[in-house]
Amino acid sequence: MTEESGKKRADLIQDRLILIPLALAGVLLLFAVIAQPDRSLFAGWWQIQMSEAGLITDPMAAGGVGAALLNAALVLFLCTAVVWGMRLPFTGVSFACLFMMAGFALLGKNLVNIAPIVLGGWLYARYRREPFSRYVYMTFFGTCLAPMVSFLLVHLEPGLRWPAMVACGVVIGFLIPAIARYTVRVHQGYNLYNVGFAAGFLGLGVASVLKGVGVEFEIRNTWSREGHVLLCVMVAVILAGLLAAGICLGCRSWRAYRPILRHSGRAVADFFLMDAPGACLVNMALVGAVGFGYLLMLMPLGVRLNGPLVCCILSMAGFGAFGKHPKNVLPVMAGAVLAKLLLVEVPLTAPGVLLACLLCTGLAPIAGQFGWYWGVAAGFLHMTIVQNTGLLHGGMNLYNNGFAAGLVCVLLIPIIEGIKPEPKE
Amino acid sequence: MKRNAHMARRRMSHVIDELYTALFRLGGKEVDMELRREEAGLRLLLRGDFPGESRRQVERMAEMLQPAVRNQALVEAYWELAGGDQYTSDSELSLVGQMLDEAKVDVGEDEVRMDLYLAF
Repeated sequence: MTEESGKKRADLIQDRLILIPLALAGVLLLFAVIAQPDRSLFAGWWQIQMSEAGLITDPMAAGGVGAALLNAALVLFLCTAVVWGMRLPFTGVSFACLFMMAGFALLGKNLVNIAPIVLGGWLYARYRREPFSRYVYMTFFGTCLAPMVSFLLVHLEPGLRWPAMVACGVVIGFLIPAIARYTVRVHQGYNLYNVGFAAGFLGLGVASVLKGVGVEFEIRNTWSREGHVLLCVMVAVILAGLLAAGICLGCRSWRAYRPILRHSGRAVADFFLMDAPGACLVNMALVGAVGFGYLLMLMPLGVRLNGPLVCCILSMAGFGAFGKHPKNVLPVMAGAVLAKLLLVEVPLTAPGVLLACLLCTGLAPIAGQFGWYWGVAAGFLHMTIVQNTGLLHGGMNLYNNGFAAGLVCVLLIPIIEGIKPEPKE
Repeated sequence: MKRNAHMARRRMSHVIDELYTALFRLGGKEVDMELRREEAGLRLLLRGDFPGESRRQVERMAEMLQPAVRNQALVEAYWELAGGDQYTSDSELSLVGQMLDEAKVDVGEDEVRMDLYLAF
């Protein structure tokens, strides 16, 4: 890299890539207004803030399609503003995190239930006497335990609920960075949803304590079927926008894109730091398109796009900047579908199964590092394990697939490394 | 940015692990290292040889160690991943590049020289 091209890239990453998450927030806002062009938009949004959020709760069912999109737009905008305010560069991890925040605001996160967790992360940084900017991504990812905050909001007495939910959120935000830094060693970077793995353990601990004092969690299932066409158009616009941005930034040929595919995807594969930004944006569009295409294929079986499914597509697209590419996600998805067809006694179109087929791609680095067949094995194992992990944390960890993916790594990586020959010197 | 010395030592041991493993895997026969404790950080001076056919990979390594931008939030979440793994790859070298506070890498005819600095 010449000094001039290095400077150009630095300027782009520091100053201009913020436009991508801002544009995404704008698209979400626009479609929110199109979906609910009246006052019910705000009433629905407030309803989402005040309702339960455990797995699998579709905010589109609680407040309406537009209200859920408004929630996602606001969460994304505020998180982007925090990252920008800290002068952090917008690299692959930023895109992965911000797209996850937007996506999971369509599957349980909202401004009320993430705020105490962010406060906890900030307090942890103060405790460590370090800037919050070092922990901001871990804290944002840690908001996957936000349903616990909402659970206390909904189920406790009025006088107790606000202090309890703030305390719960602060404890989660305070503990997540330390746990996540530890769990990354356990799976060695082969699970892209590391904080989901960490949050699974923390959720298990907190849920166990709460169960011990008599709290009962129930696995919920609200699943909207409204607004399918509108959401399809919105997803197509988002993916086309990413593709167009990538092309504008110079990815105009297979040759320009191909370097992305040589990465295994194992963390830390921050494509914006390792390859051309244009190719990264094109890759984000393609990875998102893999998820979108899979869901469109299932349309004849009755699958309709809704909050949780758009969440999966956005998450996949976001991690297209941080480890995923079509070559490493497809084998894992194939393994998950295969497991579903052979083993699991629920339909391919069941909500949990759809989510697992798309979010098992957190294990994409296994396919990238060890070969497609191990990717298929990882996806297969993931689909079987993820059916049982939700019960452990009472459905309170939104990144349940990240938790399951971590467990798959614990089981599979030692086996692979034991079987495979040592790398050649 | 000040970090405590203990954490900087731990990070530097990951950096050393990653670099000598990478250079030997590229076919190098000899790696000389000199580690200095300075007032506000640790400085690693490294010289290693490499065969001609590995030149592209060494140049790639130099790129990874001297990134256009450094993202401290990324480092905080993942620095434990560097070093100690048998599959040294671009990802880990990129992470090492992110962990360092300053890096100067000169790729010569058949040897590479590095001056790497990690602040406390």
